[in-house]
Amino acid sequence: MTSGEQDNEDLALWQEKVSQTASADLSPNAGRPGAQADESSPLVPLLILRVGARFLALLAAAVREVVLKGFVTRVPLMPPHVLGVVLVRSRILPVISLEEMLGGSAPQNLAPTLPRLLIVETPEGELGIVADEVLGISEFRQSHLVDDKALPKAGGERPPWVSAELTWKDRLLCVLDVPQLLHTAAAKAGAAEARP
Amino acid sequence: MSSSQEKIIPLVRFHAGELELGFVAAAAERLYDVEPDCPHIAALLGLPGEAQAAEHRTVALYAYGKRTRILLNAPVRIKNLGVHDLLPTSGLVRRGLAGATLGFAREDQHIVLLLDVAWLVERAK
Repeated sequence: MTSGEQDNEDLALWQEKVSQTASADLSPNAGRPGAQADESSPLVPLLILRVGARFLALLAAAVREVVLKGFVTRVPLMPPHVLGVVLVRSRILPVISLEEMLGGSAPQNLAPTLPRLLIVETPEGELGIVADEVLGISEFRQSHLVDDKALPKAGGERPPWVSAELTWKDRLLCVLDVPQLLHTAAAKAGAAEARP
Repeated sequence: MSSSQEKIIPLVRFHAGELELGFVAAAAERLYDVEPDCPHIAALLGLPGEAQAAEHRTVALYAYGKRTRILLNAPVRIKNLGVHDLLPTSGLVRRGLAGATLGFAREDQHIVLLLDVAWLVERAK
């Protein structure tokens, strides 16, 4: 093999590697047979947040505002995942802790940040979600946000309110299904209230 | 409607730890010194750690033909609640409320939890 042929082969390998990396960066189904990035699918903006050591995302259009988490008024006899209520612009909003719903996930090697409160709009009213950090908005292909619950999960069952899993900056990114999250939170609250 | 005609609801106002609480004063028959064997309101609300206070008061409550006595943290005050102090709640908040809390009111920078006396009486018995 001449040095020119070697260079061409290295270039081809490098291009293939770059192509694989780009695909893995966005595709939730990377490694799945037949999976291909659908470039014709529209881009959807997702707001990315960190809760403990987990990275989560939700439709940016559903987020009304992000404020610093202030004092949360506890409400007696509520389950642990409902932290209480806050007053935001004369509106009383319930505040939910995703960390409580997911189970504890102590952050490792992450800088401590001032917690944020995401005000999320739902058909039933507004809801506050506590996040340790808001990392901004990124666009993802809509075809990657389809519910792929049928796929086998290496890590066992995932919560029903996680509608899709993506790879973002070499991290697992769970996309939240807000209506399902509300449904689960209400069911957990009902179960807690029913307990003597 | 002029402000002088505004509906006013007298409230019994007190606290349990960091929580500002209140219920309608019309349901309170008497307020007097500590009486033994009365449950503390914090215990009824599932907040036993919030019962600590320098002094307690006993309040006799009456609702729907039933009476009970419970302990509150001093100081206990009567404050007037105006309609404009009530905070509107969405269906999402109302659905999540357990029986003890009827709603919320604003007092200065605080949120006051408005308690259901009938629930308290039933729970204390």
